[in-house]
Amino acid sequence: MEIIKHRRNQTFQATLLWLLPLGFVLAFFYRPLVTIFSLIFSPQFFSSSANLNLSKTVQPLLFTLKQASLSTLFTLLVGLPIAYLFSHFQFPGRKLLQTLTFIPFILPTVVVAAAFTALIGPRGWLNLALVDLFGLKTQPIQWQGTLTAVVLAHVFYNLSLVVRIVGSAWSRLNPRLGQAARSLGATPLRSFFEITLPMLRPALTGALLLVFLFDFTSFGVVLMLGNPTQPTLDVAIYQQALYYFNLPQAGLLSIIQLACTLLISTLHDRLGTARTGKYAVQSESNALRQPRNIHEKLFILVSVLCLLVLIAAPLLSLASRSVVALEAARGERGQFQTGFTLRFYQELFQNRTGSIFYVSPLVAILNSLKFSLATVLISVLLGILASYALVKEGALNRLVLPFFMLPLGASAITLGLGFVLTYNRGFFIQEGFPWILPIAHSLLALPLVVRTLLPALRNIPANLRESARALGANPLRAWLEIDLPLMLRPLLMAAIFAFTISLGEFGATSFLSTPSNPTIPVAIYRYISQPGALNYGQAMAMATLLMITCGAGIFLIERIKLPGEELF
Amino acid sequence: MLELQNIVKSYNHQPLLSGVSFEVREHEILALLGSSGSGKSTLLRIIAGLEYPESGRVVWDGTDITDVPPYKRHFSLMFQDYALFPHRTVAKNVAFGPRMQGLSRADIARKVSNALLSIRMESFANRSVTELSGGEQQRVALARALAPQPRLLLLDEPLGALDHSLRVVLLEEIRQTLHQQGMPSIYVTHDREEAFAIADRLILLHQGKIVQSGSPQELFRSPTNAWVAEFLDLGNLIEAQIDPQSPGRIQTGLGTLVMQVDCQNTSPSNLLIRPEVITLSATPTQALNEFPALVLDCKFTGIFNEVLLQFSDGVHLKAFNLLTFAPRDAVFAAFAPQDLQCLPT
Repeated sequence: MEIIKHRRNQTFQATLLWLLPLGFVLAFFYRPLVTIFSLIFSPQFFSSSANLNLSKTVQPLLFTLKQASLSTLFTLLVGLPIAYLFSHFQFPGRKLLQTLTFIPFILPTVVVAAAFTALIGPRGWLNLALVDLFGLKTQPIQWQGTLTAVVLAHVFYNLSLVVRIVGSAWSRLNPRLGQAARSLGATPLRSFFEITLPMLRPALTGALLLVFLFDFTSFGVVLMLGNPTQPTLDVAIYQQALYYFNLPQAGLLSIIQLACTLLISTLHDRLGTARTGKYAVQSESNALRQPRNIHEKLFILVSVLCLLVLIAAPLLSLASRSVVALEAARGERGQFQTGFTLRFYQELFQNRTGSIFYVSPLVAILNSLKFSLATVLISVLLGILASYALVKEGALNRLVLPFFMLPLGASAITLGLGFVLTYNRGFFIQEGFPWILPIAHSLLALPLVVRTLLPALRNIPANLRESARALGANPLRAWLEIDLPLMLRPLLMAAIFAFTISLGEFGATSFLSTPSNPTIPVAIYRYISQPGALNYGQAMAMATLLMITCGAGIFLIERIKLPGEELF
Repeated sequence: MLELQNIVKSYNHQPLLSGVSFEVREHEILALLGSSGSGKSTLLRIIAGLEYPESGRVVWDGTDITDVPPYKRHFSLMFQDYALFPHRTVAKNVAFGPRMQGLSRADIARKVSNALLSIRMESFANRSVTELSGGEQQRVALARALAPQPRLLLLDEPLGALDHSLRVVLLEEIRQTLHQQGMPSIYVTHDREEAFAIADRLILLHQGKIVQSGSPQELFRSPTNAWVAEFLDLGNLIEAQIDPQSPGRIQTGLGTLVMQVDCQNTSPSNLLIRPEVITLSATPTQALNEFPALVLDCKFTGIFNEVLLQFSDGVHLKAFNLLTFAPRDAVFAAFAPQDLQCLPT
């Protein structure tokens, strides 16, 4: 009798914990989804079927697949040697370089796009240098608006995923397997293909699918660096909804997008987590070693240089371009000075009025801070509840978990479209504080928050709470004395994640922010797509500030995370 | 066959092997015995080619192979954790070596079935190695190492991961298999019993140096110093002083003992009194080197009793005896002069 009562009590507790997070996901993910679906099955859809065009649907899908496949392939090709580098060798500056590799992943897409514009764009350093060096009439590098720029930015973006996931598995691979193979007569190359590669397969598959998923749903990079006449699914949804007001077409694309991401996420869960068990992977990382011979030294040197060029060059281009004036701003002809300037930064905080769309950059910065703080509050609160609900094993969790995890793979654009269709009213879009933005950001941040909190929560041994209670602490007291101090660090990490995600979110925000209520990324996009040196410079300055803020966040996370703790 | 010449290796600037030389003869099973950190596993890895010495040479049949990579040496190494390939079946693990030799399919299949037959695991051929018990994994690892018919078999603590009763059974299996195959082998272990049971010859490593080598009997009968006697657990060691004026006598905590051997050139010295040479009686027997003692403890170990004795000066000795005593019994213990050994520290 007591046991049954106890079990009922547990189920009741779990239900209570689930109530808010699940309600949130139902209201802000599933309801907009239903709206998109109903759009497709509405009479409006069929009456407007003249606007529906098969090529408008198939072409973005094919192009998305193409660019995502290419991006993933190159990310893997560059990432594998780097993963090997970090998982095997000790060299000066290793830790710093590792943190540097992780910076791009957390950077907002607009910053990445701006950084690549500053490096390889028509007015980027590379073109400026080449034109100057060889006295050319035209810019030699015409990558902006091509697939090359998109792929390059995607490699830059997702390299850290491959390095972290594959590198972590590689460093834990039992080294004696390879040694056994070699002592049985396998050459190093053969041993790599027969032993190492199959052992790394789960990690490789996991990294590959995750990178593919991110490349597949990439929006800002493609919008700003790609060719507008060759849209990906996300860009096509954006164009159809906002430029052509063809909502049924956007809805159809969204459904396709959702089906694809769902498929990729399912594959990732199925294939990416298979393990060969304790025989292949050890819990401890292998000791790093010094390079032994000239080949290894050369490998380290070349990899480090490549990494520096790939990661540091765009970031440094961005930062330097924001403090250098090269062309006259409009209305300044004949009297401007080239060289170092802080003018772009000063302009950010001055209130000039130009077009009717014009809003002071300061407003955008304040908006972003407001929304980010609200996102931290919402997502961390919901994340705590969901993590506590998930930490208890039970039938309820198995039932609820898939519903809760489904939004994880959804693209921000689909989310944005659903929100516009469902919540474009009243409280959600009020002028002072449009709640729709922090809500959308929270939905996007929630997965990472749960992924940060849940392992930490699972790591608290149950007997700590039990002994606290046995020593006379009531449940609340036990939570305050045991859970809270142990959870402070992961909570702080989760908050930083949520903050940076909200600060840099561009996809959903570009759907939802009103012209008078922009955020930093929206403002950067507006500046960068308008002509004029001042606009360009301001975009660079703002992107640099955003980059520094997010970079600081990552350094903070790297500082407070425990050694060996993985974020994916 | 294999010859090591003055192998030197250090780890983190600490010397790990300081000038080790020995050779392995045809059909010989050599045991490398030493405590952890003695450098025995590193030595084995150098022989396998997985590590390189800082100086010294590894020579096979007169050819220097120090820089030859492991896959060209035709040696097999069996690891303590077996390092079975978890993504391959039992048969495919065993087939790995023959495959690398580029043998035909028929030859590979024949070698695999022979190897599995020799460890009586034919029926396990298509099982995953991750489903096997520890003992079964150990046998598969041995079969895998033997299948390519290596010129030299290297075994690194092959029984280290198993519990005691299984070790006894598998030790006998390895012993029989190695003797049947007749291939030269080096067996690394920290366990005296394993080494004594399996080896034709033993090499005792301590702090990167060879302390003693010889047959099990030689090591047992004549340890070169007190450390060897202690490591091999040969018996009681007590400090002893030699009086140059009276040869054939030695000063110990027990009193003056009559010796048969001359200890003059092993000073300072330890006296080894093996438990099995101590005779005990309830009454004095007037034998040489007889001293009264108090029984502290007496426990039955199977064939004899292990008796802990306390002597007048607080010296404690362990003795094996067929008689049973009770604690606090007063006894007389005697040591025959020919059974006492002097050992340098």
